[in-house]
Amino acid sequence: MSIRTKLIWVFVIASMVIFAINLFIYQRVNQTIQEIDEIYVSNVSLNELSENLSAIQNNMYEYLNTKGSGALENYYRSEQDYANLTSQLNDNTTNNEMQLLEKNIKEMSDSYTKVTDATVQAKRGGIVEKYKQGYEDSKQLFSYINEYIYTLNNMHFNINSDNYKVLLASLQYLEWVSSSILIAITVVNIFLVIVWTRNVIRPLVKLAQTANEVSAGNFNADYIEVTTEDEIGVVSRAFNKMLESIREYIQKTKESMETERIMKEKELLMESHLKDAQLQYLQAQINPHFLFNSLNAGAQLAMMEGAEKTCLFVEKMADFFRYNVKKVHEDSTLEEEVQVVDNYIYILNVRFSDEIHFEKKIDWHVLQVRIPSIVLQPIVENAVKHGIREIDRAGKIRLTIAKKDNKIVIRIKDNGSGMTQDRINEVMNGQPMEEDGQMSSTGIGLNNVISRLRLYYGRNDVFDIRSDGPDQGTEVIITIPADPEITDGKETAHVSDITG
Amino acid sequence: MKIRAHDSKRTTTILLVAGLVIVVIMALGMAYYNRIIAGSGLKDTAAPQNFKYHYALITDDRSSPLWQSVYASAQAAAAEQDAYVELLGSNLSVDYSLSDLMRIAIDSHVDGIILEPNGDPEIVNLINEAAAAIPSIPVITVLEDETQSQRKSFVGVNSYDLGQQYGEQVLDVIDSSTKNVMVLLNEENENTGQFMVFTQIKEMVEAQSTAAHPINVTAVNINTKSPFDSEEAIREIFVKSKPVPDVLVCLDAVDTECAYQSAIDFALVGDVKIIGCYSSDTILKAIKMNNISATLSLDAKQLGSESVKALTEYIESNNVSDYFNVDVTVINKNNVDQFLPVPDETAK
Repeated sequence: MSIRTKLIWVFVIASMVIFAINLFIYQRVNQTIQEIDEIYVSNVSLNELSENLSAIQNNMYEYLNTKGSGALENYYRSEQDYANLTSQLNDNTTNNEMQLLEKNIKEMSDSYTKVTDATVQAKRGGIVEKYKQGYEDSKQLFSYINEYIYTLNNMHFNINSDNYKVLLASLQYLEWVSSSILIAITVVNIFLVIVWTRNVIRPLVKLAQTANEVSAGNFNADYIEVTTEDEIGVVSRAFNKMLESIREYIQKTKESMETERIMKEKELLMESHLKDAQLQYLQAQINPHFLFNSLNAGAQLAMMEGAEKTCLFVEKMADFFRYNVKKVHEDSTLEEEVQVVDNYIYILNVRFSDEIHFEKKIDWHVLQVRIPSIVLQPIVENAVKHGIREIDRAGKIRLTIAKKDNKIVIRIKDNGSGMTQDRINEVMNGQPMEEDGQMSSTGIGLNNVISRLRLYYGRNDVFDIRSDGPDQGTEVIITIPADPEITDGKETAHVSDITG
Repeated sequence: MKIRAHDSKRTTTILLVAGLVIVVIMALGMAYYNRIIAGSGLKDTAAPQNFKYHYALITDDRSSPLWQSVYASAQAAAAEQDAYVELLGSNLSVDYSLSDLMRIAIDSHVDGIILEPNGDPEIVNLINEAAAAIPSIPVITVLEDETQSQRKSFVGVNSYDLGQQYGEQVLDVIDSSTKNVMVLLNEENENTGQFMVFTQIKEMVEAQSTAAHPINVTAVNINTKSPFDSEEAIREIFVKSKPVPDVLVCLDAVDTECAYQSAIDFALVGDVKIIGCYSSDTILKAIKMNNISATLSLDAKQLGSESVKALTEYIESNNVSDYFNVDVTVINKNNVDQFLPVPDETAK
């Protein structure tokens, strides 16, 4: 039922109640007025009776006087009328004084009309004595009946007057009682309308309250209970649905914000590591550009002088440092990384007269996979510094890159002094490899490499160190996904990170 | 659907409760109104009781305590026999004569008439006319008889017996100083019962009188043709009679009370010995104070009931005893206490 229909019903029923009460009161008032109207009816009819009786007597007198046919006709008519009137009178013997009077009037009237009839007959028959006597008798009876009618009329009048007073007073009482009833019913009616409209409006009020609550920011407000099928019910349902949608939206936003926060955190961490690396590099390299240019100038000089080896050496040096400077902000391919390792080993072997035996076993198909830059060189440098530098036998370093089950496994193995398990654990947990005062050639330590790899691939097992103990050599294993998609995704994130 | 059921249930409850409250308010209001109306005494024509027979009681002396008492007992007796007695003329504004009332009764076709005749010869004719009417209306005479008429029965006291009783009371109060005994009559006709009572008293008293101590018994007729005659006539006796009678015999209740009042007014209480009739409160109190010597009380209750019984008996069996005797009780100082506490006018 719609609100409009409901309100119309409230109005209709309230009006109908008042209307019914009014109808009832009017009916009562009319009834009382009618009773008042009827009060003197008995007197009126008795007066009529008396008039008719007089008419008989007069008509008879006139007939006796004139013997006119008109008078006779009038006599019979009035007698008939009188008989009709007296037939309505009581003819039972009762203990009611007035009814007994009626009975006596009726009986005497009967006697009277017999006498008048006989008198008229005597007149027609010309029996003078008889009709004169009859006239006298009728006169006497006429006076008796009139006296009885008069007495009865008086009694009726007394009672009627009393009743009239009572009814008149009762009319005033009725007015008073009716007004009281009307007021009481109106109060009930108002109450009814209030209760009813409140029932209709209550869901609306509840809706407004909840809407206020929600607009104040409380999205956990209770759902509105839908109790009606009217417009408010429809609006309440829509509101509940809206509230639900808002909650869902908020939840989704929260989740995405959380993801973004984690990403951001990761990026910031990465950046901080890179910044750290860069700082260390800058501390180590005062002016790399001056160094590259100088090295290039050196290489050209060596070329002009025909010193080809020197030229090659200086070129490799320049490449090595250029890569470090250039690639420090971005990731690179595995191929570039291997190139840097080659350059580094070449430089070392020139420096230390082919002391290091470097072997590569590489699956060339996977060399285009992207990995964080400056990762392999620091590991190889580490193997040289802490591995084979400290042994007397010929140092060997072996680099293996192979694809295995959708993964690329990079191994850097040396035959150097090896590591204890405790030391391995320390390194894996972020303890610096460098001894006091010793800096790596690029300024990037193993610790930095591990952190960057872990962040880049989002897992911890990307980097592993194995050693069978002191003097047993060390193997570093990097396991990265071969799936180009993942690599691409990571690259995008990484690039955005750098630029950001 | 559940929502709707819940909603409509609540609406129905509200409607029902409100409807109930409205009905209760209206009912209370109208009940209060009806109570006020009932309390204000609206004369309702309550269903009257119907009776088989309609009797008329006709007497010149309707308002006297004796006849009121007779009427009450007649009414009570009639109710037992499915009859209603109307004290004819009592509610009319015109004070009709006895013969007028008889005429009215006959023309009203009542079923029976209880009549106290007043000695008027016209009454005899009317009694006969009633008897001859079709259907016949039986007439029972009460207290006074009309032996020459076709009345069906007489209920009352034998005037001879009554005269004897009065005579005895008079003889009781007579002493050596008694010279005049006066009997108050209400009727002129010498054939009536009252005259017979007077004759009896006269005979009994004169039998006691001697030449040395003669006692004069006289009758004074008090004209009752118009109201207040008794009172005026009795006062006149006290004013004009020289000497005032020593014993005053009253044959009806009004005369007795008037004589007593006059004796008080003329300071002759004790000097005039009053023998009264009927046992009204005033008379009984006067006897108690020794102001009235004695009174003869007719059993009014018996008068009423016997006359009604006689009428019904005649109507139903067309035959009834010619005479019903009614007890007469003498009340004097010795036995007045038995009658005093009784507030009822009817005396045993």
